[in-house]
Amino acid sequence: MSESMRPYDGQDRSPYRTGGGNNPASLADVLERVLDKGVVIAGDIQIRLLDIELLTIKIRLLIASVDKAKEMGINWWESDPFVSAQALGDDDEDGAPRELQERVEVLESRLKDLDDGGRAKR
Amino acid sequence: MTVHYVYGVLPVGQRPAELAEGPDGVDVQLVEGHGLAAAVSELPADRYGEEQFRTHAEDPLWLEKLATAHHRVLASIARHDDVVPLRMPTLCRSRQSVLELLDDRADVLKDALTSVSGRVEWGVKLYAESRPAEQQKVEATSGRDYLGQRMAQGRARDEERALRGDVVRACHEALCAVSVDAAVNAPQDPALSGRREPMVLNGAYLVTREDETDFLSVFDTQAVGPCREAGILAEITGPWPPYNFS
Repeated sequence: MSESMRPYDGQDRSPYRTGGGNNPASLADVLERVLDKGVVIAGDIQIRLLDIELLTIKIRLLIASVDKAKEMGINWWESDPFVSAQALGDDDEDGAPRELQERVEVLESRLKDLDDGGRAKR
Repeated sequence: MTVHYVYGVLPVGQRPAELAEGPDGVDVQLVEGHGLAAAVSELPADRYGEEQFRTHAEDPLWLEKLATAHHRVLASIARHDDVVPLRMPTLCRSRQSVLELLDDRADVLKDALTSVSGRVEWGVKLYAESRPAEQQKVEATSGRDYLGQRMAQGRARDEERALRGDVVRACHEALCAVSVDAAVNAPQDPALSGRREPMVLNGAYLVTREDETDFLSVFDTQAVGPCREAGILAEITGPWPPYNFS
């Protein structure tokens, strides 16, 4: 379960936050509003999206298959701060996943050790 | 070939303090006319045109990406300024037809702007936690005994349900008292809410910016506390652009 779905805990809860927050809007809340609320005025291109009820069912199926989608590499939402709390919590400011960041740090410290070692010998 | 995707409508002559990017990092521009300004992105038709919408109308992944961008733009504006969100998708063939849209619907849009002016939306969701039966299970010694136990359990359940109903109502009324308007939406399915517990309130509240602190403190004192005692989990989200009140 993503962090965005946890209950109120006194933390910042603003869906406006684009970074640094730990409780962005959940996907379900965004879809519920964006697809079902707001003023309806038809432009000169008329689009009828799927009925919200049907879409909800589809999204349920989607959520169930998110892991499968990840396997297939369709995981754009993980890097989108409005969709994923994980993206905010786990990624560095420059967007580098923590895991990578840690690996870089380990490599850097090994390099430094090697370097220090070399200098000591000299 | 491009299409003009309209996110929402603002008062004219006001450059929003913040304006996020549209899908794929596309700029958001203000198209001004008839005393209104539309927040619009010119998107490539081969990615977001009519045909693409028809093909992807049932494709949650594709729609989510766009819905996320739609929300990102509106949320960035609403953070400091007034905006009337339009339902996704509102599409025009040209800048000229965006202007025609503003002209045609100027009255509705201006009324909507007036009603959300200086206000934002907060969302409150309540979930009923399942609590273990408080009564000790006693082995029934007879059929009559068993029936008696079942009836007592049923009464206890009904009482708890009634109590929870009262708490939910009281909570909603307390939040209404510090808001300008309220909307009660259908509860989200557990698959969507991400919680096993059934949702018992899916409320949206239109709150004046100056009253946000009051609203939050009412939530803290008159929702979270009483709800916890009644076995109800309270969740708050916001501030949102006024989606439910436009």
